[in-house]
Amino acid sequence: MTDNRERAMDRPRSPDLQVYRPTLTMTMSIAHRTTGAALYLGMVLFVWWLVAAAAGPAAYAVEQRFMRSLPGLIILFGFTWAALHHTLGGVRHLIWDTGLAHDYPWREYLARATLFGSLSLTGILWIIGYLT
Amino acid sequence: MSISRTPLARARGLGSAKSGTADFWRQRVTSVLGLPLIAGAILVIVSNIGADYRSAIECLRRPAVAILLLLTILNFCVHMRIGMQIIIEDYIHNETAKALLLIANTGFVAAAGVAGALALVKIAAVG
Ligand code: HEM
Repeated sequence: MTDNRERAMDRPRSPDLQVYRPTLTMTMSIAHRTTGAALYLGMVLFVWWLVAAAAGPAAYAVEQRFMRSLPGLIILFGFTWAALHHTLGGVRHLIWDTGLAHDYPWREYLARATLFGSLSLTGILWIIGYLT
Repeated sequence: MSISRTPLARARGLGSAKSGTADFWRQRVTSVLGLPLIAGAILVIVSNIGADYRSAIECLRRPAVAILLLLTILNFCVHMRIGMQIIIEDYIHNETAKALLLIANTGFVAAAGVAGALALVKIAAVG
């Protein structure tokens, strides 16, 4: 009895990152959580922009100087991608919530559409932002 | 979580957050409402990239923009608080640490939300 229970406890429980071969859907699941957490922290930047604008020209200038520096631009670029990726990934979750697209091959199509969609939309947005 | 628990026992325990499905539902509602909001907010943010102080203020004080951004902040404060709570409950199993992090989560979201909302109201009222 005890033996059996111990043996049951030793077995890897699913899902176990070290047992499963990485798949696209698994990576995308992790990416959804990571981008959600990144956006959580990124909220500080958005609020900083609003508070700086409310505080006056001097505070606004400090905020703008950071956002136009290289680290600022990299963070802003990452924030854009994270927002678009998490949003499209969220739509994917909402589609799943209706019971659709859980099976092969639709779950793979959706995963790829999310990834390509977020990357190309980020590119388009930055090209527009750069040109205007 | 043992699979030998009956559905009734699980329902009585109301899951790891002890609050049933209320937050699950709220997370879906804020996801759907968030779609038009985040699209509008991204447009406002992108159109203000590189904007000088006066033009940023002129944009932010327009009622449509202020209302859009206030709703965006309110919506995602609810959404991100629940989201971060799920992450904390998934990984932190020490009850004291969990309680402290959940309090910090609420504090962070409340501070960000109030600061952002107050800034928008101030700009809308006095420029
Ligand atoms: C319209 C845009 C958005 C949509 C459609 C969306 C959708 C979702 C959905 C469906 C989930 C639940 C995922 C699951 O059940 O595993 C989720 C989780 C989450 N979201 Fe969003 N979201 C959006 C924007 C945001 C924003 C702007 C933030 C932060 C400010 C955010 C932060 C989070 C966090 C922290 C989680 C928890 C991640 C996890 O449990 O893995 N989301 N989102």
